Amino acid sequence: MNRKTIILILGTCFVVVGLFLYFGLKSNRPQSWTMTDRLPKIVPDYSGLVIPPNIAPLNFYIDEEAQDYWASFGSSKSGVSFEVNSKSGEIIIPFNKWKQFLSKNIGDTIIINIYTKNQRKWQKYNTIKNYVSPDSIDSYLVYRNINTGHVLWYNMGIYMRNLSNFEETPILQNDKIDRNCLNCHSFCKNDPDKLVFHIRGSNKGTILRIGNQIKKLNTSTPYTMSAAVYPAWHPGGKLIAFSVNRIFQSFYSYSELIEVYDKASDLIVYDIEKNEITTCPQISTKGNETYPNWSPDGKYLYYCLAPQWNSNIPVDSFRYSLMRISFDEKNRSWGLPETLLDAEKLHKSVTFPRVSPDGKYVLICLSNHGVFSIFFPSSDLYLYSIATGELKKLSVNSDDVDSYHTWSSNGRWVVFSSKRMNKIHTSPFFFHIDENGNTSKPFVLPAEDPHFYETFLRNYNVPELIKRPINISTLELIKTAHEKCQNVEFDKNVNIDALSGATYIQKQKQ
Amino acid sequence: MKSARNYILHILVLIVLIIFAFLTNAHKIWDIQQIVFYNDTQFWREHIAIIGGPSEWLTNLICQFFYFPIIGNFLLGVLLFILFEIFLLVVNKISNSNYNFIISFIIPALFIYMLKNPIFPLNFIFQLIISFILVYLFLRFYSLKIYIDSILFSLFFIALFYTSSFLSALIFSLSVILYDLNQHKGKIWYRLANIILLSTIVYLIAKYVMFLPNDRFLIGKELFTFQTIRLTRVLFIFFAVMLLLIVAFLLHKKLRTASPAPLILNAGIGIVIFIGSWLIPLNDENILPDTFRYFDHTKKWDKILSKAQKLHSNDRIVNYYTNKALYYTGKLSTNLFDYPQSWGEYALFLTTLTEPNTLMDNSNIFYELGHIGAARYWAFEAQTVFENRPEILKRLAECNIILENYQAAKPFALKLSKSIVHRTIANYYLRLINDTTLIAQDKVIVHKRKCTPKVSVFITKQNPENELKMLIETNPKNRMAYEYLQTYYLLHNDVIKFVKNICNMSNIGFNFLPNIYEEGIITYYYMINQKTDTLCGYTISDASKYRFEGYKRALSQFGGNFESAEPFLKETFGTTYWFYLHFVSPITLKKEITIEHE
Repeated sequence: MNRKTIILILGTCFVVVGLFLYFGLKSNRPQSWTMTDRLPKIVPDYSGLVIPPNIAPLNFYIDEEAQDYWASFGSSKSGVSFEVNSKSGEIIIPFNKWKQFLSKNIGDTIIINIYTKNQRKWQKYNTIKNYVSPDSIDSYLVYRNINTGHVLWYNMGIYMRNLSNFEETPILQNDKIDRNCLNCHSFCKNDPDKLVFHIRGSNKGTILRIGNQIKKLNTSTPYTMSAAVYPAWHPGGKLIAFSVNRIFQSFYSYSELIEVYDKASDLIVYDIEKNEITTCPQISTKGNETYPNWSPDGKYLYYCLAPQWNSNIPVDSFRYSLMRISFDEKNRSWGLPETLLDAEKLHKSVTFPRVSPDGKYVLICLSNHGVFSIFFPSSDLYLYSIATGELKKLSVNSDDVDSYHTWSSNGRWVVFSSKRMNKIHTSPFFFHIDENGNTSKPFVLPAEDPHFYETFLRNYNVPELIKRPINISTLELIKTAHEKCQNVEFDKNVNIDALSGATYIQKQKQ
Repeated sequence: MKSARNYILHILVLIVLIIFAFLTNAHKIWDIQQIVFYNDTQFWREHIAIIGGPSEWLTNLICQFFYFPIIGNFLLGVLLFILFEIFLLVVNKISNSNYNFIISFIIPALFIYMLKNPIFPLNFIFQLIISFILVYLFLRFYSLKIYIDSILFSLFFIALFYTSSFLSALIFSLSVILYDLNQHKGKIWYRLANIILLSTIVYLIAKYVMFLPNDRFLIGKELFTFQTIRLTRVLFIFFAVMLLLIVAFLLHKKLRTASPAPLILNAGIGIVIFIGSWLIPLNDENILPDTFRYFDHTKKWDKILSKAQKLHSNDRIVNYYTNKALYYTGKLSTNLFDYPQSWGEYALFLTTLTEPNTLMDNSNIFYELGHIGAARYWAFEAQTVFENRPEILKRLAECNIILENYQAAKPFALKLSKSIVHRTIANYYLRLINDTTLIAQDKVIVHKRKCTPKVSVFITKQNPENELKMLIETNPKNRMAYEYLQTYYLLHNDVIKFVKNICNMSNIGFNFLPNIYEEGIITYYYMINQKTDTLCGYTISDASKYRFEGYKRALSQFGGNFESAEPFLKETFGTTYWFYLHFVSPITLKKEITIEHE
């Protein structure tokens, strides 16, 4: 027998065995079954949702003991569209079929029927129904992946994830910039062309990107207590509000992990064109102002305010109120602060105010105390109606941390950070919200591997939605990160002596 | 006869390498580096996606078994043998010299030398093996047409760059060039041009497309900046290999004699090279601390103490582990000052500064003390730097189980279960998480739950006093917490608090005062110039009283001049608390303690 014949025979055998394995192991569609009057346990829980029409396949696994699994996807309009069979319980949805399926069922309810087989008998569960909203979600999610430690860091990066598939692209990883810390990325109205973030470490500074221009700023001045911290873009794109903070952290011996608190904080506004920082006595008081956020028309700055730090006040009694102050962009003049939610009356602390794109609501976190609610299991999402002053606790909350949230550009979706999956690591969750503030059940960012979150040991931090991919040269970013900072000026028109916050502390230091 | 001779020689080399592997102690390397292989997509993707990742993946796959001491040593010996053999194969292609065998000894000998430092990456052994395998394979196709040769060369070069590193690709290139020279074929110039072109391309891609840091580009691995293995050390290995190839080539035909060197000469020179590599000291500053760390992990307290006694090192980590060993051998309150204590309380706890190298040391001490909240906190910090290390994941799983955060324990246990070596313990944790009634059968967890303070207050990193007091309040029989607290007071010159805490000694079953405690109490009495009945029935022995009188007399002989008295007092009273207080304590000496870290 010559070599060619042997190869031919071997090749044929492989093909035959392969076909046998494929078709032999593939199950036949369930023809008969017994009903189980409950929903199947699926992980992640993708049942009873409102989903955007442009979301990636919601892969899951069926957490039921069985020898064979079958999932059929369909709708009332189109009947069964496609089916997935699995021996392991993992339902990996074919990508193209999913895309077509969603696009055909916009505004309709899709149904998933789950069958499991034990000892040759199929069992069917109650139908999973999800509604495909006509409201799209912004195409990309930007976040930082970090470990759970708090003082040291090593590997981290800012990443961009395409929400319609599973592609994750690093925007900047810190191994390219000498392992410095990257933090506080923020966009102007979900626009990737306007980005700011900070670098901490040997290449410290603030990276500001507007269109094709990238520059590195030193936002420390002799009149402010720190470099700029938490950012908030003015909708006009010409100003960025920041907090300046003296941040401390302490670690608990038993229950919670960490307490992060500000011994002092104020607000400043950076004028991009003038390269100048300004502030005013109303937002630089002895109290702690932090977490700025602009209204969509730019006429109000919302923020959180706590009384002046006093070491005699127990940390778990330190609470922040929700405030706002009017602002005239033309004259750069400020109104008087208004208290919208009083922490002492609420007996809760307000953090992360985010005004909805339609200007009707402020989405906030409320926790029992403190400023860094990502570490508090008591942190929940609430919706504050600007017109009526009504405060509503959202049904999306869990019994663990629900915090840091962002609106989509159309105001119909919210992404937030939650530790509900394992009480340690934050994952990004999405929910739909209508114009009346009614919310849907939240669902976790889909992963290609349904078991992904079980062994992913990092946190998704500061999830921000953007409308398009960030089109930025990584080389340019790295180069800029290594450059010297451009110093920002402090507005000479500010009456420093009238300020009692940031500058007062700075003057004391001097 | 010739083949039998060769066969014997090769077996001899294997045996010698296995012996040296045992001396090197693969398990120690594993313990310090925490080599792990996870059989999951994430681990695979992390390694596939980066330059040098595949060789690192392979290293982890094989070297995870260093976890088992005997298997690990054999494996290490076999790996070095494979490296020797494959290098010899390549060298025999390049050169027909009689000294190829001897030259080939140098490679494993180099690694035996480098591996004296247990943090030296094993990845480079695999990179060289892969490199030489590709050389050998390439040379099998050597006689092909020039354009096929060129394509194959380029593919192998790029494959090596991707799987290993640029320097591995250069070693491949050098080997091929030397073979070209050997064959006197006209391929040299086009080969050189090919290498220059490929090197330029990969450099440009690495710098401007992948933005690789220099060490990742050159050696396929990023070296932690806070560890002592520097890029120059690793470059030395690669360049040494290149030099050996060149030397072998230069010896080609020049030193060829009719008959090969005798077996005994080859074997003898080989053994001398290996022994030489073993005997030449390697003075990396982490070797001693890591040795002590390893002894601590394997509970070899007596080895720690005998080595500490011999070396009298003032290294902080060495002192830290010595103090721990003193506790575990019941000598903390009797022999503390037999060993250097120039760091004072800073060598009792390492928590003052958050350094990458000591994070798990901190977690370990608190775990052993029973302060699970603190142990968990330090393990989380450690995980930011060493994300996948099994000791950290184990600690986080276990601490969360002890603290009844079962959901939080699960991801760490699940991740650990992807490792074949750690699967058993991981599955055990998962069983406990899924059925918490089983926890009652785990004596360690039950005991730790009893010991751990359940009060949620801030951890004081600057000094351990509050944590130790909380531990004693939670469980007055916590002997380790008590002894450490008393030792802390003494090292901190705080005899007042020390004496106030003496009565709690009865809770841990001490029937009489240890000599160092007596010395502390005597100091207290001397300070307040009176004796008070604060000892809850304990009495000070006459021996200690006489000793103190002797110390005072000796000091007065020098007119109270401490500087003059020191040598004499050191010789006679060097192991007493009084000597420590006057001459060693950093507080007395007003020494500014700074700990360098990156």
